[in-house]
Amino acid sequence: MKERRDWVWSVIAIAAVVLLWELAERLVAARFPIVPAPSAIAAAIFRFATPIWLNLQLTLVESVIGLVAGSVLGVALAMLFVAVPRAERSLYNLVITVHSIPLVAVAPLLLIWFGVGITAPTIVAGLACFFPMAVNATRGLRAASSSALDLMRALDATPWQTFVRVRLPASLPYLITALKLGAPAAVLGATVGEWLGTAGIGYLLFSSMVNFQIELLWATMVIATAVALAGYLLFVSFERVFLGWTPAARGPQ
Amino acid sequence: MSVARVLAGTLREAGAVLGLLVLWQLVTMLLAVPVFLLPQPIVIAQAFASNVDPIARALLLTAAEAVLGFIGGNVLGLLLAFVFVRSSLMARLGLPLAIGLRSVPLIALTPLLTIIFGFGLTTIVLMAILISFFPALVAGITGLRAPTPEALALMRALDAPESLVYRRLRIPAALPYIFAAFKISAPASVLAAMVAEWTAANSGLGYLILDAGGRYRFPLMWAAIVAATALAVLAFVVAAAAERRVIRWPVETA
Amino acid sequence: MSFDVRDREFVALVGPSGCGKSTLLRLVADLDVPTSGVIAVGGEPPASARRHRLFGVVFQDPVLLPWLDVLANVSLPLEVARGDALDQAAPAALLDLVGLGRFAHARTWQLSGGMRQRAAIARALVLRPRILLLDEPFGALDEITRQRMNVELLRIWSQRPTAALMVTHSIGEAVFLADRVLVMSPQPGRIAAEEVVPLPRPRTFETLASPDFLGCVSRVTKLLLTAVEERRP
Repeated sequence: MKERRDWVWSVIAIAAVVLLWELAERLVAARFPIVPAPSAIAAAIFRFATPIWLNLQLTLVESVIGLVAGSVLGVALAMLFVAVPRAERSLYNLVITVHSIPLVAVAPLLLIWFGVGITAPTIVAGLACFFPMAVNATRGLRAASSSALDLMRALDATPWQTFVRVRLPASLPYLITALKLGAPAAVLGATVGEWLGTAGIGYLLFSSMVNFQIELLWATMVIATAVALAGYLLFVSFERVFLGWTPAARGPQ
Repeated sequence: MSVARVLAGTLREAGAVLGLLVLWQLVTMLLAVPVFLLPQPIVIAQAFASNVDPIARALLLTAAEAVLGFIGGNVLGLLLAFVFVRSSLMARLGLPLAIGLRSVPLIALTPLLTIIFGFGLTTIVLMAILISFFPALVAGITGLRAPTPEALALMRALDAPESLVYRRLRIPAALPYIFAAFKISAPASVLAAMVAEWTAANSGLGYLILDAGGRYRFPLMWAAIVAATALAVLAFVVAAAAERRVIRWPVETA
Repeated sequence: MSFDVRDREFVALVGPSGCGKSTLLRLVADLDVPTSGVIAVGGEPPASARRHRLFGVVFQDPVLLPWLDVLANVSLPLEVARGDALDQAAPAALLDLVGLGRFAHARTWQLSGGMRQRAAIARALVLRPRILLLDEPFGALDEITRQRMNVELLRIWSQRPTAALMVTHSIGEAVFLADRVLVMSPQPGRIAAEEVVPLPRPRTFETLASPDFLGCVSRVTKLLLTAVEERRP
């Protein structure tokens, strides 16, 4: 029940900020055109609904494909690491090195390789969530308690049975955590990838800045935030629904 | 770990890296890979050599931006963490706002910050501050609240004043969390600075990478990428080394 | 319920889980507030007794701060109390007494469970408390270490005599250590019975095998079972 109270406080805090903001704008109207009133931002979202939606569609597609591809590859790598420990020792450093290359350095490179379009941002999105997934999935696949594994051994279970009945459920909390982190990361990655392009939320943010379209900029920011948040909350709800049995889902974050 | 083993491990890794470089060189040479796709390591090294000055200047600038942002963000975050732990009211109001701020993808804030604070250092440092702020806040709160009920009961039984409880118990207990956050926000500050340079500067490593690519000077671009990676890795290594020096006791990994 | 602990008397509190014996100890230590009744430590209510540092507490978790060495941990109460006519040599002397003299500058994680509890006991004695409060201090240790610690505790306590109130699950431990054993029953928590332990001091490992000891243990066990039975609806 403490959670419900926390929720209430969150809503109060955010509502208070929005209200104060609106009031401040009304009082000092037009003095700070750079920061429009919340009502003006809301109006802008409706006014620019079409261009925002068109660009958002693109970003969503890139984010989703990136998230799926990055996660699948991450899990695959984790499965490799767990099945073949030698692979982990040799590949781990390589993975870390590749991960160290900042996305901001990779994005222009991808742009050069694949040109403007959907490919580069998708790859950036995939890279953004690949590493967290690989790390979490490795931890998750190893998370099965040794007692549970001993039990399966005593029951003479096949490796596949052990995987499905013990390792996989034990790793689910970690996988969902990685997806929780990966969803906003994928959106961020796609946005970064679009920065230098000609379409997508990233492009919209950049162009509205250089064209000094303040309200469009704010509207796009709000939408981008909403999308990232929605992705995060989607997986949080997955956690609650499917993993109600884990302490992580029950306790406060 | 004995010195010999560490040395052997490092040599093995260096050998692997060298092997990779040699492979890279051979493949690009033999298959005549076009330079916009993948330049030869030797060509990249040449670009490095003939552009040491601009690369170094860009690197130092980005590093300075990142350091300023890192310090600012952590100071702010840790201060706020202290406030939130002392006053649950502030926490209940402030945390949702902090989380809300954190939800905005940082790249989406860059245009806004650029418009408000203009082209230049302020915007870039602000971005780095923002990226370091939230990890510090979370680490500070978790860490300051980390002591077990028994530890707190002990302090109470000793009738220890609040300041001593903080100095001797809460703050040391928080240090592992804080340094773990450093290891994340140090390289992240470098990244944030570089991203901000795309829109708010015409200097620095982030900008250099874009600029070199835009002028089709691909070896230079790759050299800048290598420099950027090295900077990010250095940031992490420094944070990790600092952690090892300060945290002299074993910590349970969460 | 009502009971008292006299100076230099060792009283043990046994009872089934959930009967409130730990709560009782916490009330004496001013870690919780009673809804009714009076508690006095050395004639003072728990709050001021705590501020005047009249009691020393040992929990099941020794709570040694890993960023301090052993001596610094044991000196912690001195640091809190801030000087003024306090015995600065006490921590080192107590470490010697509990047998950790050589480990003064060791790190806490280098100590075994039993050693850590000895350090915690030393820390509890630094300010010369009037009463020592122990909440299942050896609960986390294995049986052999536990018995050794019991003998150790008696040795230390004989050198630094105070009143002592200890909560424990183990009847054997209670009988071995205490002058009197109070048996608590649950719901509502109350003292169901009291047994005086007729064993002479000093007590050693041999005492554990003596018929007097075993007889006392079986009497207390019966009292405990009766107390639990009575409460069953």
